[in-house]
Amino acid sequence: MVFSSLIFLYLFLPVCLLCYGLSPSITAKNVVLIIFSLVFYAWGEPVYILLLLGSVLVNYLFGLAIEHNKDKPKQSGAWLGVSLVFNIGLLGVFKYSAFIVENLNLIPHVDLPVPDLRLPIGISFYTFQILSYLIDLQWGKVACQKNPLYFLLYISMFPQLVAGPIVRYSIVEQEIRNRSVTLTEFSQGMTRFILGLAKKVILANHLSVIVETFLEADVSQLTIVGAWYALIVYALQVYFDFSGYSDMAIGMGLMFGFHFDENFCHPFLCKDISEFWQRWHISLGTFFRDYLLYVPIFGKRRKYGGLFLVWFCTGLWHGASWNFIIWGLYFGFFVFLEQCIGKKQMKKIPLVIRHLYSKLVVIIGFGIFYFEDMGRLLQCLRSMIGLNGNAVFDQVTRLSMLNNLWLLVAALVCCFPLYDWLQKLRNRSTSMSYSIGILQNVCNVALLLVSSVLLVDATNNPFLYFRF
Amino acid sequence: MLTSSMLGNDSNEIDVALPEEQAEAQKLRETAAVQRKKRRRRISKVEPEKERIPYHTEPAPPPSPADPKPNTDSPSALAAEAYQWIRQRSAEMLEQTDTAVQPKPEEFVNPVEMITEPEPIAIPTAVERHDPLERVQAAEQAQQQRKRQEEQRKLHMIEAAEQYRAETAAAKPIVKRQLRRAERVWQKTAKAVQAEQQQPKIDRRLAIVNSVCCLALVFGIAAAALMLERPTVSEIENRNLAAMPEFSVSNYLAGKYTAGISEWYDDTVPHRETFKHWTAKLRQMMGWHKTGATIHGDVPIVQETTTTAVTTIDPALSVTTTAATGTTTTTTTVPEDDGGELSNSILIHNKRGIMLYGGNETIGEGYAMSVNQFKAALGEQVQVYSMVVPTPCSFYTPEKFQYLVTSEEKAIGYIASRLDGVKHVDAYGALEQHADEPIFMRTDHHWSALGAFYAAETFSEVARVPFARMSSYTKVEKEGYVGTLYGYSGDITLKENPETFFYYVPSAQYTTTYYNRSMGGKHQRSLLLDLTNIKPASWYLVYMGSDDLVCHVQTEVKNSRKLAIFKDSYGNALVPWLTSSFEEIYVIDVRYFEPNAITFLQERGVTDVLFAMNSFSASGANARKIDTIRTQ
Amino acid sequence: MTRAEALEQLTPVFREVFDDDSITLFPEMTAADIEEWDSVEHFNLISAVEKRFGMRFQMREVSGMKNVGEMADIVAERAK
Repeated sequence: MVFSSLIFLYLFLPVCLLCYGLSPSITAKNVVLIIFSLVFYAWGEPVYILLLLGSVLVNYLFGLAIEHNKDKPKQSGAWLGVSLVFNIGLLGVFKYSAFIVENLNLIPHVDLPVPDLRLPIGISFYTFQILSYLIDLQWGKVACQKNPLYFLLYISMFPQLVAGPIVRYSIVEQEIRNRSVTLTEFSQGMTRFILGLAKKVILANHLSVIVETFLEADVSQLTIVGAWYALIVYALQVYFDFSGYSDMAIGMGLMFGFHFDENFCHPFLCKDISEFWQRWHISLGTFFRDYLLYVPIFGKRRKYGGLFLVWFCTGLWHGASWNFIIWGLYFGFFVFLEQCIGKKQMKKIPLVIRHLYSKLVVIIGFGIFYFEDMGRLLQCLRSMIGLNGNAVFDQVTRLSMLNNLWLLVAALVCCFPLYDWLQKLRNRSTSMSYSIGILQNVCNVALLLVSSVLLVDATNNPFLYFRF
Repeated sequence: MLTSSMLGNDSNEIDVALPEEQAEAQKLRETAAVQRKKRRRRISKVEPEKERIPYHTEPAPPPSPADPKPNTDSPSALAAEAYQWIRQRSAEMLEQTDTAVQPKPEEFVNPVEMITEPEPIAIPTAVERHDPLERVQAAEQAQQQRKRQEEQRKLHMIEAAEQYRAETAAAKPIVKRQLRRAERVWQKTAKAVQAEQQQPKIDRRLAIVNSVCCLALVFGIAAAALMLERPTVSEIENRNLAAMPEFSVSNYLAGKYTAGISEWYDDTVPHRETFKHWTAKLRQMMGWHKTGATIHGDVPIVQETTTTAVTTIDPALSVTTTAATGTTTTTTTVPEDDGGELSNSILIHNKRGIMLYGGNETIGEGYAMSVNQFKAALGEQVQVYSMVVPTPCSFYTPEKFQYLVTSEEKAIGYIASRLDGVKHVDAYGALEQHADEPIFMRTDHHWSALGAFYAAETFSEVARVPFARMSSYTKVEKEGYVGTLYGYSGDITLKENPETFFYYVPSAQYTTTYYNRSMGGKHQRSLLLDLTNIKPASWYLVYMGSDDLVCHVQTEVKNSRKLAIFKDSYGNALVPWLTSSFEEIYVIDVRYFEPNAITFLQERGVTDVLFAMNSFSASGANARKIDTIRTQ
Repeated sequence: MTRAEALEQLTPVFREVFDDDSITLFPEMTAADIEEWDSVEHFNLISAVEKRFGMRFQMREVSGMKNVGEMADIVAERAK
């Protein structure tokens, strides 16, 4: 089940909210959430739900083992190691085995059969959540969750199960046992959810049509403007797709009383690449920063080794294909570059240049992200600088821009922190507060209706990061 | 501070003087009073008399009747008054303005202090006052001096007052501006503070409204979705909508059952067509369409060398692909065509939908070869014709988009050049001559009855058969036709500009028999269907209905000419026009025919075979179909 | 070594890593208090501290330290 589908919005969610609202105690509420989450997951993965449940059970036991050996760092470390092997192994098998084997087959005389395993939905996300719990447990940052049902709730909670954000256990540790939803928070959650839905259905889905039109065809035929236009639109599409989904997850979490951390913070306002990654997919970035950056496997060359490892894994996490790895390392290179230049020097560079530089790097980065085929990527890059001998501009690009003018304008405008600006405006006076508040409410209803109407026509709009 | 006593000392002295002095003094007092009055008036012209606000903030005690009238007669009193006035004005302003504006105490020049102290008057000593005349003279002199000094002092005072007034006047706008700014800032802060205090309450109220509205909406729609009746067919997309799947364990485990339920729920939304209409409108609003042209679908990049072309699928077969409308593929009772892909490059221009042809010149090679082989298999007795019909893109594509289409004329010409033993029917030429007539439909990808007429006419010339004039046909018109291109492109322009669907009923007599694709299931029905109960999007079905039936027409013509038309959906429209040309007509779709075509034709004694399809179909996939029916 | 001493000895290290002589350390100080202190500068800091005191931080400590006070405690414990 996808969040942006009619059956979720108007069948699953209302029933879930109703049951949750009617539940008298936290325990009952948690049980309701677990049941609905499992139904949600089983809806898309009737077989692999067993994998999820199995993984949860095994890791719950690992948690207990680590807790049991709390005072013996060597033993608990060993248990942690075993659990890491188990979880990463599981992820590796389902997600990367085909990739690994294909690459092994490139070695002469090696001809292994390529496994054909279907990737279970959300495995990357929930595996990482499990890892965060176990590592934090061994490091003593969180308490062991002795209740298996609550642990299951943490892992399988449907708002963040299939597509993030990667919620650390420390964030929900207290709230699992003890939370309450104020009316204001519920309303905020609702608003957030609707905004995310609108981003996905109104913006991302229609931007994807443009991207398909240009990038699915022969990219060596694209004009210069056409190629740039297509990649910019693609960057916007990925942003609205992913951040919309994160917004929906955070909004729903809020409606149930959970306070997840932000996952996106207007990444296109960044001034340089380091900042971009502090604003894009924050939960992944912080995960790697906390658990991978300081791994002392490179000895003295810790810093560079750590950086390399983090960016390699960031790329790899996004997909089992070389272009994703290159994408990760590409960004890693720029972060490294900026590190070398140094923060003080970076600040001295004029703002316009920094903005331009970061946007350029990001857009080309998204090109790498899109094309799994290196050949097509190169063709696209060549088209972007006109090496393919095509015109600068053509009717098709022009028509596309005109036919989607307001959509593009809206997409660009929504990159800015409009909501925060409106909130600041509200703080000016009570009448402003009321009027903007009413405006927001009207917008919510309108966006919900518009998104729903658009959903009637689009019976097929899976979320981009779905297979991660 | 100058006190009246200091100034009043002399008056005391004067009071002690002689009567003449007293008279003089009295005169002085009067003149002074007059002058004072004058000055007062002058002062009051410059500045309106304000209420005396004392320098300190306590209000001035109201003068009680017992209070002695203030001594305003003496120059000292005048000075005091003037000074008092200045003090009051400055006090007012100082009170209201920022301290920044307030002149620093050291800068504040007390105008009165600017005045030099009067030189001590040389008062004649007692010895000097011995002589009464001298005394008087001295007193007079003294008075005069005093008078002069007083005058001077007054002048100084006035000057000082004026100067100060000027300065404060200059400062006034600044002060006013500062006042206003301070006022604004204060107001803003006050409002912000108030807003901050009230924020939780406001938020709570708004939260209630928001939650209630949104929840009401969500639950309301959820209830409506469950309770309202769900459609089963989509007219616009011309297909059956998803049905509730059947449960089976394997279905469930494969994820198909749940996916099917989702699809059913999402697909069969009550009042679906209305929502689709609104969706199309919303999509329209996303862009600027005043240029008059919109492209839907992929960028139709013209390929240099390609062997796969696109075929048109008869929408009556109710199959859509994912590319065109973003809907999932659903199959209906009619079998799925496995021959080609739908072209999904549609240009909307001038309220016309134009499918963009992208095949290269030699794309019809396979088709030509297949047709040649067909002829070879049939032998000399049977005449074989090939009519490849162009589509609207050859005639209606605007200049600036010409680069998006390849030439159908060239492709058709190439096919003609490759035909061997097969006669080429130049439908292109026939249609080109009449391009400004409604030979193609605007909202559908088919040609109109009129276009078919001209093509049929040309064919009859090539085949040398009689051809009935149009006047012997009855035209039937139906308003409100919106064809397949709306469903494929989703462009609201087409929906909002329906056209008139027309067809011609032959006056000639004939009977029509239908068979299924294996030549069983014989039944009689009319050639032209009754469209009364058929929804607009399917009106092209008027010609014989669906494509997978074989149609056999027996006319009253007795010329022993029997025609077999192997066609795609374009060919359907030709049949009515040929009811006065051939004794018998067989209409066979190359995709839905099971017997061996050659045997069939020889058994039935067919004399003429016409391959009639549009340019999209005269390509690889259908060529293979032609081979198949020849050899199966 | 006590925490206070460790803090004192850490100060020049901080000042050098962040190139700012005005930095004064207090136990509750966190990365939020120094503008330049982000995850990658953290590296430089850790390396510098390790070098200066001849000790190694464990990985859990590197990313798990809450504030400078904790760092000082670890340094105080392990410095040679």
